[in-house]
Amino acid sequence: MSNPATIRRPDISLLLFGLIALGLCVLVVLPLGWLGWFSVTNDQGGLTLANFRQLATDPALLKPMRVTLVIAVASAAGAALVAIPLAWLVARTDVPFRGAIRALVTASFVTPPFLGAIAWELLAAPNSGILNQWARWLFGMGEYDYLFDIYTVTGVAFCIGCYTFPYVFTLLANALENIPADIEDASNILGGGAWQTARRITLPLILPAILAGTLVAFLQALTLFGTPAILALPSGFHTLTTKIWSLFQYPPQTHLAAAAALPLLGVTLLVLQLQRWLLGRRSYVVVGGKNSPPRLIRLKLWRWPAFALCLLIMLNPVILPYAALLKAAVVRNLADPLAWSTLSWKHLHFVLWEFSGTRLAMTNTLVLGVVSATVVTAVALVVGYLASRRLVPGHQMLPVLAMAPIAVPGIVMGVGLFLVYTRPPFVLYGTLWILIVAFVTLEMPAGFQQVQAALRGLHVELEEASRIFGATRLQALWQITAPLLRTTIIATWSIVFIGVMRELSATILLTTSETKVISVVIYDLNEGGDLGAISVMGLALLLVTFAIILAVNRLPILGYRAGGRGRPAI
Amino acid sequence: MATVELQGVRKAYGALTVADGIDLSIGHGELVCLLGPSGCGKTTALRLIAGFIAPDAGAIVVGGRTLSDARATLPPERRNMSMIFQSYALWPHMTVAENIAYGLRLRLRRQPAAEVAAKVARILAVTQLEALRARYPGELSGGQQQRVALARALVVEPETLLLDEPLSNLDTNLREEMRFEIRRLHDAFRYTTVYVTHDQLEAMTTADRIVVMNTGRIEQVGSPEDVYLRPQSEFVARFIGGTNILHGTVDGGVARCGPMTVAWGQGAAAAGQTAISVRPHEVELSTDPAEGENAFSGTVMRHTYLGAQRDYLLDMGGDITLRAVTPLDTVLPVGAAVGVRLPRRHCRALPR
Ligand SMILES: Nc1ncnc2c1ncn2[C@@H]1O[C@H](COP(=O)(O)OP(=O)(O)OP(=O)(O)O)[C@@H](O)[C@H]1O
Ligand SMILES: [Mg+2]
Repeated sequence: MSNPATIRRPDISLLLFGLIALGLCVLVVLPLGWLGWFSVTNDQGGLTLANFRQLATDPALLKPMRVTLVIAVASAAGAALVAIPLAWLVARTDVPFRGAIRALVTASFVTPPFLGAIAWELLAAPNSGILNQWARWLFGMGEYDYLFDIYTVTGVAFCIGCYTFPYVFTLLANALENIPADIEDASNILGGGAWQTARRITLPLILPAILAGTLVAFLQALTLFGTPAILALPSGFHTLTTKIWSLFQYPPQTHLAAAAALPLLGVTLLVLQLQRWLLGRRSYVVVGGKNSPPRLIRLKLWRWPAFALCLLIMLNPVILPYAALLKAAVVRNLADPLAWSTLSWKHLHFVLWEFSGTRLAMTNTLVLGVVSATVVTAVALVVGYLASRRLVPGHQMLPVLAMAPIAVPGIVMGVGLFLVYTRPPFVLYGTLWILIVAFVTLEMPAGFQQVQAALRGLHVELEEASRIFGATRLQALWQITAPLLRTTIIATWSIVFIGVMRELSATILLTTSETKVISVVIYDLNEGGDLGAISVMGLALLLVTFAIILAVNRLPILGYRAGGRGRPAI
Repeated sequence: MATVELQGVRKAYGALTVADGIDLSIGHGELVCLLGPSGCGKTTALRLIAGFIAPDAGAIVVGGRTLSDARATLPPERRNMSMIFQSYALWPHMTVAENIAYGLRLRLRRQPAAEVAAKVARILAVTQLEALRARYPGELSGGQQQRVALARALVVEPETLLLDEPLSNLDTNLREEMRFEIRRLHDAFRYTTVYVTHDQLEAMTTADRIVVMNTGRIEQVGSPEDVYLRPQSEFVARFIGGTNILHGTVDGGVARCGPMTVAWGQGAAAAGQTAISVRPHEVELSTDPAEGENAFSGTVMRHTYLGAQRDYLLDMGGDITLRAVTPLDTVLPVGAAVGVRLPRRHCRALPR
């Protein structure tokens, strides 16, 4: 008997597995470990619970926590209140221009919250706010009277809600579209009227989606830095995130900051668990499959009033803010009305040619975006592949590691990374590396989810078929798997890139003057009150974002369903 | 020459043993069917032969060369085999012609493109796919996809062809057609073929030999006639064709099964416990009490009209029921007492 020309089974995939597992561990465990350690030590390095004691007793810390909670609850409730009718109208009725409304929701989804906050400064600052000027003119109010004040707890909650309601909307719209019409028909046949059916059948089916979406909105509000930093600080109150940030200002109180970050982590973990439980129970909605598309309810006379309502809602997150930014970008002075005589290239010129920070920030953002997106996509692909093909023992733990950062809010990650990388052996603070580490960690879950979904739909046998005809594993990957995943790869890369452009919560703690990125420059300019220049930059940021989204959506989607059966997708 | 031999092949996933010491020798140019219920390890056996998975123990020898054993496994791309997958696994981003040419390009690296084109054209003609050569798999019907998978697997002229339930996604008519097509192509090209199915009719009509599998073990190997007429175990008798099984104890050349005493005409009983198999259509029914050897009386519990036949369920007393399939003219009402005769030469004693 001749010996087979052999390859041993433990091959490079095992090595790759080890490296990536280690890498992912380091990304999450290291910052959280330091965070934990710092929270229970003092400046001298001695063990202490003083940080937590101060957290529980110091009014300067207690008040921001209370404010944060109020803002998070209020904005989440508001987001749900607005998203529910909107999602129902778009998903289940014949309200006109549903596609356009959805596009507007997507726009508010990708608008960086800090940009929205700045736009609302333009709109609703007590004195100069455009809406207040209109109100004075309309109602003949005095020169210093105002209708709206965005620099309040209400203002912050409102502004956050504007950019978190898409979380509720998306989950709910999906749930509504997944309810087959016959489920509701079945109730009607059994004698349930429209109202009874809605209350007894539809509502229980969509309730988990509403709650889950609201929880996400709550978490976002809880951990957001940009909006409160822009709207709360000027009028002298803090949220927990801005407080943590201020603890890093001179003299830095890193131990207290670490302790203050832990509640955010704890609440996030709890809420995510709750959300998973809620969505896990939702699975019964899918049982029975999509037998019939949901029935669109005819609004008849109410069609246009309903559309007006949608438009009214969408004024707040998108239409008004974008208009305000546009106006601020093109008029000479902020107070000028929009007219031919007041138009000016001043701000564009300033941003492009005079302001020294622009070029550096743009270069940095581009470099960070490209590097982070590439790394995340590559790692997500390898992890997804190893896990879905069960190539190595212990593969189950890779997805868990890749998804772990989802439980770590940006600002918490920022604190942790700051602690790790400002001291030997890894002194990365002040370099772009620390930002790359931050972005890769924070964006890994989103990237991995994309890849995993795609790999699940890709039958293993497609690859095996190529092996049996003589392709090596690498050839099969290159000739079969890679082309089939092309769309996913591009989409994943783009999602991460967009995510990097809008990140501020972790970035703000980790940048130095040499490593500024656009989001930080915008934040800095806001402190200097240069709203014209901000508007130009913000609009540029939005333009790039929309261009990427459009390009990804236009990608030719290959006309197939994995498994070789079925008709072209388009 | 490509004989395929499995020597004591064993494979387990954790505590679950999926291949439990499989010994099988397949001759050159033979078409062998692996037949068994879902989850019995057929696909696993096929993937072991293909080299996608490595055995825990035992060896796989093809053409005298050990390709797999517990220490090492030759990767599938170097086995000169071909496979039709249960999902067809047509590459959705390649046209029909590209799908078919893929394997040729990999295997005939030094051959001119003209030769590849000629071979593709020939197989397209054989499988009647010329008109579809520029289509993508997503634009084909199930049967057409199946033919593409067949063409793709055959064009490389493999020494060994592996098929994993290739017809399970087709409707009944198309399935019958393709069954004969597969056999015809096999007879024309004479490669060694291992064909996995859980459909006994498919196995009966295509195979030279049938390998009946159960829970990772081979129950019986034999020609279609062998496994049907001479089952070696209760499992095989039940799985191939369906049968009545009477459990009993051997007592002086007859089996005592509850109230019935049955004499058998074929097979061999183990000492002590035994099982007697008698096919439903061998059971003879009459309105008069039956007489002589293996004659009993029973009551009709259920009657089903099958079109060309009638299907009766009989209560034989002592918790024993029998099924009988009879000609149309045997008409018996439910509840009637009937004479039942089990002809001795059709009663088979099973050793297991
Ligand atoms: N990678 C795996 N890990 C764990 N268990 C597996 C794996 N692959 C197969 N099994 C198990 O091994 C058993 C046999 O699987 P196999 O696919 O060989 O069955 P089969 O006879 O082809 O069944 P079917 O007719 O349904 O295709 C099943 O119980 C299956 O769950
Ligand atoms: Mg199978």
